[in-house]
Amino acid sequence: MNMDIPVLLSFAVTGAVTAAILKKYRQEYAVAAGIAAAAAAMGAAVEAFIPALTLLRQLAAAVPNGTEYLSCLLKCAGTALLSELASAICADCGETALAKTALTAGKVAVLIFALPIFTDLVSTAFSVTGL
Amino acid sequence: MQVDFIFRIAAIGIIVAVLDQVLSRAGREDQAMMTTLAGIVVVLAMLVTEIADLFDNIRTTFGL
Repeated sequence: MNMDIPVLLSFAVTGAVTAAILKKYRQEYAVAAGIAAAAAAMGAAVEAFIPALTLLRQLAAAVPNGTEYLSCLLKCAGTALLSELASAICADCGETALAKTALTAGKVAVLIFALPIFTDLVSTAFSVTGL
Repeated sequence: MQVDFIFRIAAIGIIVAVLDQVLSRAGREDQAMMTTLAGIVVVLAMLVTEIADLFDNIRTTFGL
């Protein structure tokens, strides 16, 4: 599915306006409409990213260990996206503690996914310095 | 997920709000509460399915 940026942004604006209208009648449905719009816009953005991802994979294949490093980077990026979205949904529902917990969990996961790159960097530094 | 999904949620919310008002004014408070709860359950079921699809999409794209 090809998605124009204006159409994607219209998802967000439509959801915001619908949520603002629903807030007067039923607050819970306003939250649900906001979440639906955010999920729709995020899904469209992720699908629009796929062609760029194909190009990145081709470029990474030309570099030694590039595929592995790109996989780590993509896992970090995907985890960041998911944790930001979950945090925003919790904040919209008024649960600030849950929102911050989701963000912290995302940071921990990113750190774990980035460990192979740190390990390679340290071992390369040791091999270069002869330690 | 298309934009009509957002409008469906809005329509369910407005219908539930109207029914809630009508039933409350008719003195049927418990039925009004059940209608509200049923509406919330339906919207949550719709939302959970779409969010699960989104998470699967992100998991597949980013290789999580």
